[in-house]
Amino acid sequence: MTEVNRRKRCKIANEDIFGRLPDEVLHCILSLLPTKYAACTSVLSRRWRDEHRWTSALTNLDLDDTVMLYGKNKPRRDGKLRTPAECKAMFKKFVDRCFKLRRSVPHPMQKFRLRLSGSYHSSRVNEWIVSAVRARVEEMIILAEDTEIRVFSCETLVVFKVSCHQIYFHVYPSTVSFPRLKILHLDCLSSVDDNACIEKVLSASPVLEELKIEMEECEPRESLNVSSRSLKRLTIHFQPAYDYLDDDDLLAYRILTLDTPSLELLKLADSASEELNILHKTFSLVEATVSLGHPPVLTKNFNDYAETLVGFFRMISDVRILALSDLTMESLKDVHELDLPCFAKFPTFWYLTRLEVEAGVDKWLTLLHILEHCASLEALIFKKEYNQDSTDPQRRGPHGNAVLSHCLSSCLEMIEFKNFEGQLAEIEIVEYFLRNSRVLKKMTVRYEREIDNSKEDVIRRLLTCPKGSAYAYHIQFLP
Amino acid sequence: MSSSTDSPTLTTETTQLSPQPDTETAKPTKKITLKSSDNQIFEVEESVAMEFATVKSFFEDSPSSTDIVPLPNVTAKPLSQVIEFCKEQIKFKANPDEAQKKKYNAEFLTEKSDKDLVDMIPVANYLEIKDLLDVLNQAVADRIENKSVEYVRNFFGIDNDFTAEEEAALRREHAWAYEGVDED
Repeated sequence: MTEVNRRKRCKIANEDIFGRLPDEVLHCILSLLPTKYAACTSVLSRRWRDEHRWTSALTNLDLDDTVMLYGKNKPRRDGKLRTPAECKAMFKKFVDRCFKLRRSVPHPMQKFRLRLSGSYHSSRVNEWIVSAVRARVEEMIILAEDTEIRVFSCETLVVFKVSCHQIYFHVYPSTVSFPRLKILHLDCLSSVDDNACIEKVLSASPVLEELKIEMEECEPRESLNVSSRSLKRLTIHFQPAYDYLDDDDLLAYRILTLDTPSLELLKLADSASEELNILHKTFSLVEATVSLGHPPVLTKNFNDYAETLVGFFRMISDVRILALSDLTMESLKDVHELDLPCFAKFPTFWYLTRLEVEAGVDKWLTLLHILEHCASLEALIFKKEYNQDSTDPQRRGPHGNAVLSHCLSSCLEMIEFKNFEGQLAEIEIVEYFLRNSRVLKKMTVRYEREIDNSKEDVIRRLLTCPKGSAYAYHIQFLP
Repeated sequence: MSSSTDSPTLTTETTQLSPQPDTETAKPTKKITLKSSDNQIFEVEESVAMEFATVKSFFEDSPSSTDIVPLPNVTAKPLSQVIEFCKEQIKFKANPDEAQKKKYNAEFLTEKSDKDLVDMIPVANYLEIKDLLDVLNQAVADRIENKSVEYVRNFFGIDNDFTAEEEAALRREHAWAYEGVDED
């Protein structure tokens, strides 16, 4: 009796909203939820249970054990907290169940995201990955710790992102194939066998467009050859291993080779490789962000590293937008100050229109030297590195530097100085540009901390500085 | 609380009923009249109405029609909110600014009550406004994520028709799924 009434009420309530919502909309909302919340909906009402609505959302499997291992842990009915082992067992059971229920879903799996905070037996994790591959998964995101992942072939995979503290990659020989893979991200890998594996995956991915590799503990012996005809966007982040200094085999050094003729965007931060080879002068390259420094222990001498560095810039000299980190500027400054012969081969950037430099004022002379090599520069962004003592006379700004860069007199229209603190050397740098830029249209000075000297005095000094530009322009001071 | 969130919606509604001449385009724009199921009349610019695939195909079938377009499945309040959203989206179509658009969409959503959001979904679905539907679906998913079963029932207005034993059995079946969600 009450049961009938209840159903009646339920029917009215459901008609209110769900009566008008087609299954596609519900499916869409459910598939936007992490799978565990989607699964909760089977307890909403009989209709939701009987129609197994949430299983239709299994085209998007989003599984994360973090909440249960580290979140609020609900006590069991007997009042005791669950042990991590019990939590993990529950999680495993749930994941297995999801894959089992998924078998009845006819559509391919769009997304499989697996985030593991606890450690699980590798065979179990690989079983899930294989299940996702069988379900014709298109996007796979694995965040795990200490898991050995076997690389597999997948006809349907388009996006593959792996991130973990430590992961051991093993490739089944000769069976790897990713015919549709476009985006590959590999983060925090550290293992002796990685690079061969990465090279194998690359050679098996004929349409790859985006590659990101981050490694925090790069072994000095390991070299990497990034070879891809189709690759357009490449991000590399290599840091040397902590135990680098203890390494007794100092004859080995790391080499990074880029064989990527279609590259458009390069973000390279490498302080582990001692040798950099770019096999093609990349005419297609539009934008590059460069942070290069030599590893803590050099196997070869510094001259060789300087050659490598200058050679690298020669290969990317057709770039339109370039950003140089403080580390890069430090390396170039060393080459500049030692006046090594290779520095004469520093290329002219014919097409570079925008240059961003992050550096202390002590690299000022090196920056001026680089500006001499920028033939069409329109915008210069100078971000001062903090914690530099610019009152040291060695680190002063420009003093009667005779050579005037061509770009200052012909094309540099916009200059921005970031992290301005009002120190004498910085004021002199701004004044140098104000005096010598012939076509400047806009100068922006940004301060984030308080200006050291009296702000009004600094502003007055800059405003009354003789202007070299024929254009009327204004100086902006922005916090 | 609810009256303060309602009042801005009402002001936009009046501007829709008596639209100001558009200062940006000098030529008079064609108006289309929509009628909600509770007999409210909405006069909207053609460009806004063409965002509604359902209305668009109505005019494609009978191009010369000057009739009022009846929307039998749509009530006035969600319709006015949907119109408000589409008017903004048209500005972004003319001047693409992803950051501003994101900001506007976020503000549009946060000021809506749960009921407003859920009520707009069938309207966006019926009128086939895909962008809005995507935004609404994500907003609903965000609002019910990590929430208890009871909360979700209230959110959608679903009556619990399980016996206590049935519900306990179901919860055991998916025990992991209920870990870490907010208390009922």
